Amino acid sequence: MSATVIQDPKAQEISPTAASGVTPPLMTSVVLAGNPNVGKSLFFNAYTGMYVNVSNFPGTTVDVPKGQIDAKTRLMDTPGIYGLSGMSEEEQVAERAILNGDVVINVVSAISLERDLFLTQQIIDYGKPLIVAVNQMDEAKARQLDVDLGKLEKLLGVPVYPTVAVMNDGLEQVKQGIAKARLGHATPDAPAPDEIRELESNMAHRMKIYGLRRQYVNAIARQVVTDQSQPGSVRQLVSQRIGYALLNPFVAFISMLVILYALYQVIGIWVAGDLVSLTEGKFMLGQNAGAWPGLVPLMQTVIGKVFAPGSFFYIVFGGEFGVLTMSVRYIFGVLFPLVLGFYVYISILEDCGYLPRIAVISDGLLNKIGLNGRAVIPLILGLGCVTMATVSTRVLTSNRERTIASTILAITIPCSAQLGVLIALMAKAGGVKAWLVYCVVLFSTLIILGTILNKLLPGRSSSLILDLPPMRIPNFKNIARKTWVRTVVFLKEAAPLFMLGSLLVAVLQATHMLEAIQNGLGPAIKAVLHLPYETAQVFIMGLVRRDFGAAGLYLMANRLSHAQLLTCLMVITLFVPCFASATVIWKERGIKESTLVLAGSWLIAFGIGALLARVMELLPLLG
Amino acid sequence: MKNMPFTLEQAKVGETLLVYRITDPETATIAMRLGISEGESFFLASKIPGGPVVIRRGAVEIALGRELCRAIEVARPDAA
Repeated sequence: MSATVIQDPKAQEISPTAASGVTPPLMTSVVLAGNPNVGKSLFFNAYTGMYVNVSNFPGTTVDVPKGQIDAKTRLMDTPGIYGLSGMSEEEQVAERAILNGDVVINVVSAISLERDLFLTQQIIDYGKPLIVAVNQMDEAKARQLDVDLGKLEKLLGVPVYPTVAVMNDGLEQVKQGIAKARLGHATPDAPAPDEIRELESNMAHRMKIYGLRRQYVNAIARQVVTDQSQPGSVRQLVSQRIGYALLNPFVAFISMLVILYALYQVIGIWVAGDLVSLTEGKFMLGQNAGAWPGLVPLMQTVIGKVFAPGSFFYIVFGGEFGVLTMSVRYIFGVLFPLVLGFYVYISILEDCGYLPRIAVISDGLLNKIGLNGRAVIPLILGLGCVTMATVSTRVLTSNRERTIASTILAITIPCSAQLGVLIALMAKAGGVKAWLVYCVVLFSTLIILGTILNKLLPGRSSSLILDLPPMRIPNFKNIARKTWVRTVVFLKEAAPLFMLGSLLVAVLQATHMLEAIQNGLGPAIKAVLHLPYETAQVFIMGLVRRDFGAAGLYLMANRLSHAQLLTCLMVITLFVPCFASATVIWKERGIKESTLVLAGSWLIAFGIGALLARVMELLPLLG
Repeated sequence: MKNMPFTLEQAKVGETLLVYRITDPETATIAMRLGISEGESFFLASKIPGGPVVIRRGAVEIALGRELCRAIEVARPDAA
């Protein structure tokens, strides 16, 4: 930690070399802070280049990117927040980062100055030295908003710099300005920095202080911003029109269909199909790769030299589900391209402003199952990979919402591997009619499950508050950064769990337990689901990897009736997610909750499967 | 007779409204940080059927869930 301490509450420069007689600190830690969507990450990108270290903030699940500005200056990014009130884990992280840092670069937007200055003033009131970057000056100009930065600097008492971060304008000046950071003018009548945090944790005091601060900030904004009230440029008007159109339920519905179809095309066909056949088929397994034998066979040869092929340790390390073979093949051959592709897609939707609007549209519906609009992000991600989506439930505000979302994901959302199986086999189960029955059953299960959880879980879920950023052309650098950070975070989290899961399955296989479980399950499946014994293998292999079980099902499909095949596909969907997502649920949600989710998924899968089988026997819907 | 304050949930799209009172302290905290405090005005930009309300203040657009809208009392400017 740095030793830069500002004793004098009156404005004083905190250049590391300024304090005479005191040894300059080895490192200055600078923290970027600001409201969401003000372009904060562009500053981070510009100052740190690609050398970024993303890790969870100590003791939390919030990711904070860290980098170096130069040899003596560390930079930490923080989640976008509106104030320091500890209302979410992200806010607590941002608050701790700000309080622990030496200097704050507060990024505000010129077009939403009044809103953004609340956080600025709160940081000032907390007694932290800062500089303010007023970003999106070009947007303000286009909207004929005149911002008097000289006056703002005087009123706040801290250096203020104009920037257009997307054009890299003014970023260098802000960087040079870090050394000029100082304490600003606190809100009149607000408590002193050493007692204000304590007082703000009390609701009655908080209301009073927040009221004072809001009034003060609004007064500053009124003096600084002159609104010529022009409607803005054509681009802005178009952006606003599109934004409102997307809030129309009909347009939103159509756009959602288009987006999901594009998702299917991009992720389902190109990534999961073409790209994975390259990474997994060609590179990992050596299929159609000419002289290249494939990484997995190569590793098996090496492992075969250490342990005799067929021996216990060979099966555990190098077998079909071996810790070294299976997890490497799965993590790098399948998951990496899939997760990367999905995150690119989601980051584009997010960056252009589409995702927040979908969150708004779906809020009413999600409220009924105890979630709010924010949950659409994990739910859409679930269509790619439930494991990845479970990790992303961290964006939800309360624990209650995280429980509901991860349960729904585990049980009712089919991941891309399952969708692949469904798409291939639905044709054999009756085509459109089968899809229709499947969708009705799955959707009803989702609604009923969510409603029950919402009723049973104590407390209530938080209401949606979402800032709607203007619709815009996505920024390539932003997308690249977000995608990379998310993918790396996910793989870091998931890779060890995949290895653990494959170890478990490999040991079961090596000890012949896997066969025993399959044989034991056969009669139960016949009695409950009216399906042949062999389908047990489909379900058990589905635990290992969702599309593994499918191979057996392709062979069996012609011997099953339409109703049986549909029952089978329904159960595969609802049945416990793959081992990887099960381990992630266990890690994220704890042992008690994950056990309940897994047991519940068995019960629901077989319960609904049994019901569906019997209903379809009575009503031959699929012919 | 003067117009009485009513909740944001009951307001109509296209109205400019003044914040009269926020009844729930948690909601008030959230609202104040976003710039919505007693006496301030905003424009009701959109209302999603059965869903959130979208308000606009300058260039800032915020979607507020129905639950929050029930705790925000507003009045038409002529009533203030």
